[in-house]
Amino acid sequence: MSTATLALIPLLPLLAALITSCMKCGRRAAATAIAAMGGSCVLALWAFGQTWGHAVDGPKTFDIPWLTVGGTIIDFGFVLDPLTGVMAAMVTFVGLLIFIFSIGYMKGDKRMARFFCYLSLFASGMLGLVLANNLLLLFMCWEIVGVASYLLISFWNHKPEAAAAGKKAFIVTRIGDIGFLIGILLAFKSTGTMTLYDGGNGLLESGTGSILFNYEIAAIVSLLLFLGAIGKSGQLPLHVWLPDAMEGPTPVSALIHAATMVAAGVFLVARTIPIFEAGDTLTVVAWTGAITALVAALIALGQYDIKRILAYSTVSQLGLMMVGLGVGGVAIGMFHLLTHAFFKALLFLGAGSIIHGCHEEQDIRKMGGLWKSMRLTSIAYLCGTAALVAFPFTSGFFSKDEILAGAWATSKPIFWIAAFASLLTAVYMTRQCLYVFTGSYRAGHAPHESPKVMTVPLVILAVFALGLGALARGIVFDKLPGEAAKHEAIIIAVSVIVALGGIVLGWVIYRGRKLGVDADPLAIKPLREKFWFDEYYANTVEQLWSLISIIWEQLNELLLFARDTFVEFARVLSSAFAIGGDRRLIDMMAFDGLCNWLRSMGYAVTRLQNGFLPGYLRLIAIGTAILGLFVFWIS
Amino acid sequence: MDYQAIFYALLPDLIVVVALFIALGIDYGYLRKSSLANRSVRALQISSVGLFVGMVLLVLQMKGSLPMDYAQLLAATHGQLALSPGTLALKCLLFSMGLAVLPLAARHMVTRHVSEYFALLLLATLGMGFMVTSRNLLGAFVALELVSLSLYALTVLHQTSRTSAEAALKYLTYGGVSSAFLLFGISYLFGLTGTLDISKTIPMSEALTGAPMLVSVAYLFILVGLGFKVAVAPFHLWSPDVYQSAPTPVAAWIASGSKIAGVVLLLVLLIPVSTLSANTTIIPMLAVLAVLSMAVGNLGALRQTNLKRLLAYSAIANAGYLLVAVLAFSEEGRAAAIYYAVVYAIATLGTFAVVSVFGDRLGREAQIDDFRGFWKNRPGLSMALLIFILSLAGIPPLAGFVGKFYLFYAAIQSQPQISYWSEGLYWLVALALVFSVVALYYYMKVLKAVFVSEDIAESREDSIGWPSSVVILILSLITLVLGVWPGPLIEYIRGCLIF
Repeated sequence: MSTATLALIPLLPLLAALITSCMKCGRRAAATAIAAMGGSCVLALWAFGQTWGHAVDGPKTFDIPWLTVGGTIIDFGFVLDPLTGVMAAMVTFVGLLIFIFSIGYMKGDKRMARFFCYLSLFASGMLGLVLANNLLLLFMCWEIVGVASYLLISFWNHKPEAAAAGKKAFIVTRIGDIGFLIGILLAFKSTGTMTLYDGGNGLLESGTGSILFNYEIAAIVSLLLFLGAIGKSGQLPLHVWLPDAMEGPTPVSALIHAATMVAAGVFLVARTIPIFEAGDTLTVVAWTGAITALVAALIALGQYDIKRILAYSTVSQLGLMMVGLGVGGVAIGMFHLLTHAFFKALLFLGAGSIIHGCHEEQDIRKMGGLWKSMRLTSIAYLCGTAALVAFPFTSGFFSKDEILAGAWATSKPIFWIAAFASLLTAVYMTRQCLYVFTGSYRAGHAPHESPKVMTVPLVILAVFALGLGALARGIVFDKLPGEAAKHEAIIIAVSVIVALGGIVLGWVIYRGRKLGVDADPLAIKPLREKFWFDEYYANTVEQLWSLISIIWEQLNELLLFARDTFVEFARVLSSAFAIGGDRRLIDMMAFDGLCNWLRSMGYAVTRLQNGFLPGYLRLIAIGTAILGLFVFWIS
Repeated sequence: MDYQAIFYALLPDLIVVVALFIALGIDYGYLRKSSLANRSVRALQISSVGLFVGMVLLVLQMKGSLPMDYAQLLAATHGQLALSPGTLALKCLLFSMGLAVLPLAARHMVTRHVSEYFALLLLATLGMGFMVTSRNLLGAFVALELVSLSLYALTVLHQTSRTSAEAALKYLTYGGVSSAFLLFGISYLFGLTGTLDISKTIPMSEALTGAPMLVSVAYLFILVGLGFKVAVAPFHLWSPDVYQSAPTPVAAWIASGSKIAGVVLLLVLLIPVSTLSANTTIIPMLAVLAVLSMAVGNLGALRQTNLKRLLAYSAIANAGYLLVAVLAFSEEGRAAAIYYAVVYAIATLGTFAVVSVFGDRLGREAQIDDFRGFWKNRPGLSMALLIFILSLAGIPPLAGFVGKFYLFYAAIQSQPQISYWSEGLYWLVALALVFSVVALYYYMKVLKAVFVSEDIAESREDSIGWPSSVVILILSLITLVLGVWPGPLIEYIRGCLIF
C-alpha cells in the first residue's frame, strides 16, 4: 500500500466536500459524498486487512517533507498500524451508514447539499486525524473536525438553541485544544520532533525508552494532551457542550457524538499512550473517566429528552473507555470504543428514526406505544439498548467486561464506581425504553415507520451491535498493545448482576406507573438540572468574565476619552496648518500662483506664434545670432 | 564600382519607387474616370504592397540573405550607403510606420490628387530611409531635402482648407531658410576636413581639432538647420501652424517619421565631435536649445484648445527631452535617444491616428472639447487614446515611461560624479522632470474631456474600417508591450549601434 492510496482515504471526502460546496442539488451532492465515502471505506478496509490479515511488525509510515523550521524538517505523513487501521475502518464504515441514513432524514431540507458538504468535510478531518503520523497534522485535522462539528451542530441555524449549541461546543472544546496545542509545542521543544513514528526516532518510539522525554516532561505533556482529549470526548468538567449539541440533526449526533468525534479524544490517548506511560499519568485518566462515567449516568436518569439521555449515556461510556485506557491499556479502551461506536450510532440513528416517526418530537413523555407502530425501529433500538446495558453476549457485554476486569486488577475503588455506573446505565435505558415503547401513544398524530433508506442502516448496525463483541475480541487483543486481564468469577458475576439487576430495578420502579402523567421517581431535581453544571459555570466563569469585561469597558472609556482629547487637539492643530499654511500659503500663493504664472508664461511663449511669416523668419535669425553670441561668450 | 552590389543594396527603395510609379500610372490611366473612393483604395493597395515588399527585402538584408559586403559598399559610395543591421532596422521601422500612415490617408480623401498624395508619402518615406542610412554630408542633405519637399507638398494637399495653403507656404519658406543654414554649416565642415564622408570618424575628428572656433560655427548652423527639422525651439514656429492645418495623416507623418529621421541624422552629424574638446561649446548650445524647447513646448501647450496644436507643442517639448539624451554624448545616450524617439513616434502616431479617425467624423478640426463623452460612444478608441496619451506623459507601465527613464538614466550616467550643480546633466534632468509635471496637466486635460466630462449629444455610429482599426490596435499593443517588457528592444538598439 503506497502513500498515495493511504492519503486518498482522507482526501476523497475532502474532494467530495469541495465538489459538493459548489452544488445546489441535494440528491446529487448526497450521491457524490456517499460515493467518496464508499471509496474511502473500501480503501480503509483494505488497509485494515493489511494490518490485521497477516502479521506486520511495527507501524508502516508514509511521510512527505512539508516544511523546514529552523533546521527541523516537519514531515507530513500517515501511519498505518493496527490501531489506525481498525479506527479508520470503523469510522468509514459507520460514517458510510450514517451518510446513507441522512438521505432519508434530511429529505426535503433545502440545504441538503450543504449538509453533505459539511459531513464530507467532517469525515475528511476525522480520517486525517486518525491516520496522521505527525502531531501537528493531527492537530490540524482535529481543528477541521472542530469546525465541521460547529457547522453541523448549528446547521439548523434558524433555531437560536442550535446556533448557541454550536457556539458552545466550539468554545468549550477550544479550551481543551489550547492544552493540546501547548502540549504539542512542549513536546516539540523538548524533543525536536513532532513525528509519531520515524524509524525509531519518533515521539512515541523513543518516549517509552525515556530517551526523548524525562519523567516530568512526559507527565506534563501527557496531561496537556489529555486536556485536549477531555474537551473533545466530553469528560468532566468540559462535558457541558455535548448534551446541548443534540440540537443538531440526528445523523450528526450519531456521527459526531457516538462514533467519531467524541471518540477522537479517546483515540488521542490511545495513540499517545507511550507518553502517558512514561509520565505515569494513566491514573489521572482512569479516575477522570470513572467520575465522568458515574456523574453522567446519574444525570441521564433525570432527563426526558430522548437524545439528551443518549448524550449523557455517551459521556458516561466515554468515561468508561478512559477507565479502560487508564487501567488496562490500548486494547481494552479501544475495544469498548469500537463496540460503542456501533451500538451508540445504532441508538442515535434509532432515536432519529423515532423522532422522524413522531413528527420531530423528542420528549419521551409524549411518546409511548411505539412498539406497535414502529416495529423494525423498535427491534433495532432494543438491540442497541441490550448492547449498551451489557446484556450477556452482546458486544457491549464483552467490552465492558474487559474494563471491569482491568479495573479490578488495578484499583478496587474504580472498579466499584464503574460497576455502579453500569448499573445506572441499565436503569436509565430500561426507563427510556418503557417510556418510548410501552403503553399507548401520548401525543397527536399517529407515529409512522421510517423509510427503508433509514431502517436498513439500522438493521446492519444492529447486527454489528449484537455480534461484534464476540467476533472482534480475539483480534483486538491479539493485535493491540495491552493484555486482557484475568477474568475472575466475581467480575463476571458482578457484570451480569449489574446488567440484569439494572433492568429489573428499572422494571420494578416504573412498572404500573402512568408514564408521562405521574411524577417520575428518579427525575429528581439535581438530576433534572444536570447537577447545575451550566448554572455553576454561568455563575463563576461567566460572572468573572462579565466582571472583567466591565472593568475593561471602563478602562476603554478612559482610553476613548484620552483619544478624543488627543484627536481634538490634533484637529485644532491641523486646521491651523490647513487653513493658514496649506490653503493660504501653499494652495493659494504657491500652487495657484505658480499655475497662473505658468499659464501666463504659456501666453508669452505663444505670443511669438502670431501667424506672420516675416516674424517667424526674423526669429530664426535672432535665435541663431543669440546662440552664436552665447557660444562666443562661453569660449 | 560594383553596380550589382549597389543594386542589391538599393533593391527595397527601387521596389518602392516602382510601386510609386505604378500607382501614379494606374491612377492617371486606367482609373481616370473612377470614383474618388475607388481610386484611393487602389492607390492604397499598390503603395502598401510596395512598402511591404520593401520591408520584406529590408529584413532579408538584415538577415544577410542578399549577397552584400557592407563595409565595401560604404567605402565605394563614399559613405552614401552605410548599411548595417542597425540602420537597416531603423529604415525598416520607418517603412512600417509609413505603412501605418497609408490607411489613415486613404480613409478620408482631402484632395482629388489621389496618386500624388500616396506618391509623395512614399517619397517622404524613401527620403527618411536615406536620411538614416547616409553617412555622406551631401547625400544626407539631399535626403533631407527630399523629405522636406515631399512634406511641403503634402501639407498643401488639403485642398478645401485655406489655412492648409498658408501653412504650407510658411513651412516652405521656413524650411528653405533652415536648409540654407544647414548647407552653410555643412560647407564649413567640408572646408575644415576636406571630406564629405563622415563615416571616417577618426580622420575627421583629427582634422577638426585644429580649429575649435570654426567647428563651433559649423555646428551652430547645422543645429539651426536640423533644429527646424526636429522642431527645436526657437526654430519651432512653423510646427503648430503646420500640424494644425496639414491633413492629419501628414501631420502624423511629420511628427513621427520625420522626427526619428531628424534625430538619427543629428546623432550622426554629432559623431565627429563626440570625443572632441570642441564639444565644450556644442554642449552648452544643445543645453540651451533643450531648455528652451522644454519650456516653450510645455508652457505653450498649456493654453491650447486644438488637439493637433497641442500635439505640436508636445512635439517641441519632446524634442527638448531628446536633446537631453543627445547631450550625454555616450553610447548609452545615443541608444536612449533612439529608443525614446521610436517610442514617442509610435505614441504620437497613434494619437494622430485617433484624432484623424475622429476628425473625419466631425468634418472639421477637432477641438479638445469635441472629445467630451468620447468614452461612451467609442470605448475602444478611447482606451487606445488613453494608452497613447499616458505614454506621451510618461506614466508607467507604458513605453513612454521606460523611454523617459532610460533617457534620464543615460543623461546622468554620462557624468555621475559632480562637484558643482552645473556640471553633468543633473540640473537638466531635474528641469526635465519639472516640465514633465507641467506636461501632465495638458495631457490630463485631454483625458478629462474623453473620460470625465459630460458628453455632448453626438453619437454617430459608423465603422472606422478595418485597416485603421488594425493600425491603432497594433500601435497601442506595441506601446503597452514596450512599456512592460522593454528589455529586448533596448538590448537590440545597444547591440547594433554602429553608425
